[in-house]
Amino acid sequence: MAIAYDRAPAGYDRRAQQAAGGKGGVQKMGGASGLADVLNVILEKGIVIDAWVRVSIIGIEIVTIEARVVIASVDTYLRYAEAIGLTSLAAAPRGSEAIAPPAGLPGLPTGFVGPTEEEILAYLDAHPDGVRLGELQAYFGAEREELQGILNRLVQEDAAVLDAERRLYRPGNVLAPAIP
Amino acid sequence: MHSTSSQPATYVYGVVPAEPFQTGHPPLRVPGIGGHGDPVRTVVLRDLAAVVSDVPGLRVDLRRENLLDHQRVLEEVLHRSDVLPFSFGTVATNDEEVREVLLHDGYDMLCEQLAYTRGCVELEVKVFWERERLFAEIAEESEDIRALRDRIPLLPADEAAAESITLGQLTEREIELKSEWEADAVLDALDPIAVDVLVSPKLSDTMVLNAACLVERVREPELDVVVAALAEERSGRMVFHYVGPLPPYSFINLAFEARG
Repeated sequence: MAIAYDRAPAGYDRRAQQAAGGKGGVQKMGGASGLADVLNVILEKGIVIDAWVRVSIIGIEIVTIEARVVIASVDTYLRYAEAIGLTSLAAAPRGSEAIAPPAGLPGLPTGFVGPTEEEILAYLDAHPDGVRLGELQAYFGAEREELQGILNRLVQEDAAVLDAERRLYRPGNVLAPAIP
Repeated sequence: MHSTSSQPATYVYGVVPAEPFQTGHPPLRVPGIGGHGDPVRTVVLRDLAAVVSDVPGLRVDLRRENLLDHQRVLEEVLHRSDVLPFSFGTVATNDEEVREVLLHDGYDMLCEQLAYTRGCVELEVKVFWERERLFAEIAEESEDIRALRDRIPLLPADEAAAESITLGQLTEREIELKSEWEADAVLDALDPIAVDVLVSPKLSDTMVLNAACLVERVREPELDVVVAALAEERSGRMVFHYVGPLPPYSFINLAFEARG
């Protein structure tokens, strides 16, 4: 097997997957050329003598190990929903490209200047029967996407609970999430 | 004794049977870690040897060049002999410490481990979904998901946001089920050829399988054929990353006690 040491390591990102997938089948790589694929092995496996492990972590330009832990979060769900939403566009007949992307798929909040998490939690605590996003939006006069981003985080942290069926946000740990 | 890092120290790559590296065999030509071309040499105790090179101090930077150096040395050694690899970044104070703490104190364990992986190499089989295809399949296969997908664009914005989360949760469950089913199919094909298979946690949410196979060198070509066939059958749906041969990193099972 030829080992091409100067080859850039393949990352785990979609681009690399597609590039590899475009050929169909599989390309066998040596550990040095496939460094990205064996990084976790080289760093975490093998013989370890604790007192002798002396790595100083600088130069993390190496390659990122994407999502060491696969975290289920609202942001993840929204990404999945978006990906599923796109399947309908792909399946749509020609001439229907004007269909707007599925509504209600906010991106990650950027440059947020609206209410803080604490303010939203205080409002939720004052309304234990649940609050709709629209109500929060009206109360705080905030951008929907920004509010959604915060609520996503709160739900992820169990600080808030989303009753997905009735689309109500409640204070955390009052009810089990409606969706398992 | 480890208080200073300016003293030269000994970087350890792995443990090998000593014979293939002794007088009469050519020296290893691959440069040692650190970019200074330090020769790779062995520290020997009886019939075991540690593959080492000099480094300027006790700390090794976790950077790409050093990882590559570590891996290249081990690949070169693997060409010649079985090797028990060290995790990256293992530095002993000096050769004497390598001989005493590693080779002497660990002698029995190392021999046992060498026997277990004798004649074997490790191959990584990582399988990923083609992302777009994954979601297209899920939409095709699940009527519930399709219906919800088509309803969301018609809803008021706030309802659509909440329903999107539901859609995402349903989708996540489908991803898990499909991935598990596909991973089992791949493992069923790998199992008969491998001496041992270790399945590690997935590295991304569209990963199907993260497996390491311990395979006898003589059976590596068989595994090549099987993996190629698996990948071919799933072409367009999944991408295979097949990496190796590597020293048996994932099949090391040694516990070194701290030395008083």
